[in-house]
Amino acid sequence: MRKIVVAGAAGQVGSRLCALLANAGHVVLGIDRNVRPQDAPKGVVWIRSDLLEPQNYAHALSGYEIVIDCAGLAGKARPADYMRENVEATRTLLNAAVNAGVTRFIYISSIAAKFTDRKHYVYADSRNAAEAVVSAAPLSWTIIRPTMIFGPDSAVQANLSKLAGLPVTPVFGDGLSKVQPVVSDDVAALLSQLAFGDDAAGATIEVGGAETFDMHGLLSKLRTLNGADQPAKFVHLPLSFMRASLAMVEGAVFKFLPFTSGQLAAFANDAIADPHPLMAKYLPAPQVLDERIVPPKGAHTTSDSALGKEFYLFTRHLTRTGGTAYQESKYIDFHRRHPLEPIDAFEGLLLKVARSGAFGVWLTDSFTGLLGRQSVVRAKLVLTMALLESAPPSFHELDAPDPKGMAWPFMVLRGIEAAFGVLLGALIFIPAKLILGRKAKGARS
Amino acid sequence: MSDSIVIIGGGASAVHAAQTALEKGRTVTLIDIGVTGPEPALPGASLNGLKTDLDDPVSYFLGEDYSSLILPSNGSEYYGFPPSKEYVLRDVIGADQKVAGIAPLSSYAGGGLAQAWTAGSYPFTDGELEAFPFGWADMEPAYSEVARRIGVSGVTDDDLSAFMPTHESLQAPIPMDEHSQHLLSTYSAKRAKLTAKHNMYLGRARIASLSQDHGDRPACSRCGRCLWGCPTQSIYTPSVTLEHLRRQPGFSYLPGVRVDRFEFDDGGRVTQIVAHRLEDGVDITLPVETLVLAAGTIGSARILLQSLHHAGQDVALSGLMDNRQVLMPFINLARVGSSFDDNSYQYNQLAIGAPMDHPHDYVHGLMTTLTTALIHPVAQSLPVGMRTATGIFRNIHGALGLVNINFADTRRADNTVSLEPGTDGKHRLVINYTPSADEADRIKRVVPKFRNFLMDMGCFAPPPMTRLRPMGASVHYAGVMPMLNDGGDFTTDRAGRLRPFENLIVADGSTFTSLPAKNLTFTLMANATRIMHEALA
Repeated sequence: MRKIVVAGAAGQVGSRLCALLANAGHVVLGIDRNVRPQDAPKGVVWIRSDLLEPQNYAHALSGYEIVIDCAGLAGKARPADYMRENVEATRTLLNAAVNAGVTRFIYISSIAAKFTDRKHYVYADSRNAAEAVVSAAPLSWTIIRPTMIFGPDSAVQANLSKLAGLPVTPVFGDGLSKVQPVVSDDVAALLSQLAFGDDAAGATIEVGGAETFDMHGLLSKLRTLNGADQPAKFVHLPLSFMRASLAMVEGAVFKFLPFTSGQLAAFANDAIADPHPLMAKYLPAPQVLDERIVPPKGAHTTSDSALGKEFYLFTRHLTRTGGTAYQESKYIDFHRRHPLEPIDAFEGLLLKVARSGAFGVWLTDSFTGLLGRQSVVRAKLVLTMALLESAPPSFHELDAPDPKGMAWPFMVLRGIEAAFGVLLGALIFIPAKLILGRKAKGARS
Repeated sequence: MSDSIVIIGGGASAVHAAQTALEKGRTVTLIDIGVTGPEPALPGASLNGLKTDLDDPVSYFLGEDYSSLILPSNGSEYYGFPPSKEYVLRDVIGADQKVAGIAPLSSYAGGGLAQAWTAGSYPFTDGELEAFPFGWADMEPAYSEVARRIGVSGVTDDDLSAFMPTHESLQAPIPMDEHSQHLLSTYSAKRAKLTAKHNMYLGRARIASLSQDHGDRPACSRCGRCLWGCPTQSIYTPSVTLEHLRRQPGFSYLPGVRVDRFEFDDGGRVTQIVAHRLEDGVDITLPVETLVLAAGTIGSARILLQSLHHAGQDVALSGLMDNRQVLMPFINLARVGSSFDDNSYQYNQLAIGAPMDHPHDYVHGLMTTLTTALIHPVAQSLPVGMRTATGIFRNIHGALGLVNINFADTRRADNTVSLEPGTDGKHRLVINYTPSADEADRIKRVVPKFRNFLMDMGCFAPPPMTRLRPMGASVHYAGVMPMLNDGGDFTTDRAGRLRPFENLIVADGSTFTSLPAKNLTFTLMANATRIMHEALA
């Protein structure tokens, strides 16, 4: 039994690593700014904290031997955020670990750290800088550089799958850059071995999966696994032009961009792992991409992120407090077990309007309260309320009456608001229902 | 009667029959399926403490699989069944039943259905016992004995006491929450007018919940967790007695066993029972000197029917009864905008008595103030958007209440339990129930009476929210082997001895000859106690 700290313990790799270590009988301390995932093994001690706030966790590190840092910021972000989250956070954790007498530190970097063409790609720079911090530390260290990490909860996999599923798939550049995705379970398994491997001290190991593709090949494979009958049709977009023009505008319109110029570096560099003897030793047979890793489309017709957005909107609609990540995970979990899907076009329309924003959810809620009580939107709102009343902090708000003497006036106001909402909803939705109903009837006959 | 007794069942009737037999110097073997529940979560925490401190509060309150979530598609109830009590109704048998007009629930839990009761402990009056071959004077010692065992609190000097005879060993009542206090003081202020106009009476509930320590069970700490399972056993459940039994010499417990039938000789003497272990299906036979059937009305009927069938005799047992219940939520208008105290006793602290022309038809209303139940089941039943419902609810939460109106039932020939060949070659239970011809009429008369009474108390009960619960929902089943002075086969004498058998006693609700409106559980325990006293005398 060893004592191990996992930072980024709620993440894609960290959560799996915690489970592996705890189930093997080790004492595991998980640090993450997110709440403890509900499926985290009982044995994992949890500290909810940002790594940049060592006052929350530094005291707890004493007695632990090994720290595995799985935290990090990837995807679309501003340069300063990359540096803060990837370099400063690692430095802070490392200092706290050294001060607490930790003897071994494992850092999860990225294959991007070796990219040669890293124009506008501050992410890669941040990983390089963090590696430098780790390799200068006065303890036994190991760095791993995974390629793209795939798995059921991988954002990059979800985005590429979406791209691959389009009637025409846009590819930046020639589509010949090489990729070698690795599965999150494999990365976690490797880390659980490297943690105790004395032979890994001072090593930087590149970690790739079983198969190497070019970008075309990967997108085609994802398309097949998603269940498409037709082969992918690619349209090539000029990479250099896209990178340059995005770089110019992204300062101003960052919020509205789906990705940044820097992220396109993935299309300009090969992201494959150099062989390493310790890979052969600790991860001799990585998994290939199959249906277990990339489930066919339609297995979950609603993506988790759409549900997450919906939950956020609904919680804000019902309360000022809003929901927590824990409640959101329960909302998504419920949909996994008991799908709430619209049964006809009109229901689909109601849901679409409810998801469109604060006004849309207000309108559909008012309307379905009186005239659509069995609708999917109302079921989702009832579910949201049940989750809000069962857990902190929102339950306090649901229990608290309005200020003294204001209960009746406020209830009258709410009544007027509700009546107005029903009226407006009826004006919009009843004609829509008639039209959609007629359409459906026409289609049947 | 012999020294050695075998009792089938583990619920309210069985454990008190067992306790009485032990006290009378017999050795007792209790055979039970005995599903057990989870240990109470964070025993010292209040209800809000649970929400804050549990790792996964949603699973605790809504269930791992969200089984306690009430969505519009399944929203006929105002409470989701708490996940922590799910074990009480868990079907470990895969029982095959064909039902019509009633949806009976069964419990295979150690302690039976009363593991999830609301602790109402109301003795029957002479009027209510009219159809029974004995009266209050015969029952009083047994009620007192059970009250001594389990701890019952309440008062004997208010308006409701007229409908609840006084037995011994009554603890002082548990302090009321603010809303219940408000209701009672409103009633007291308008008492003369209310009682004259409606002939209805409000008073303190009698409950098997402790206001003082009782043995190793502490007094109610008012943690507000009643609905979710009392973490301190201050609310009595039969598993308390079962635990106590297991510590006594002369008692043995065989859990995990399902009894299929008993066998009897030509002289009507029960010789052995045939059962099987649920774990591995291994058959067990157990010789019997005296057998006590106390598996609950449906369970005991099944065992009797299967035993007769095995001996070549197929019969239908008639007279099945159940209490019809009507749920009437109300808003106490004077309390709109009041905050509520979640650290309070949650089950009914008040009850309403509504005498009818005939004493047996007395209607009993249990009044609860609903403070710590989840609110989404009620909120979604309002005809407004959930945002409006949430906004309204925050203000009426402290003003909300619910009256559960219970109606009496009588034995009728067409309400039967019988066997028929099932699809799998085994026989299955067939349960038929039709309400009495005048039921609709009675409900139509009584429900507005309650609504008007509440209105005169300043409480508004919106008519669309008043709901008729389906038959079977009250889980007060009784009556298929009634106690009759001159009954035929498959009826019992007043000591529970089942005709035509020589050594078979029935000690559960099967023996009731009528079903008053008051919750039957306290009387089940007292009747089982009385039966064992008389049968083993």
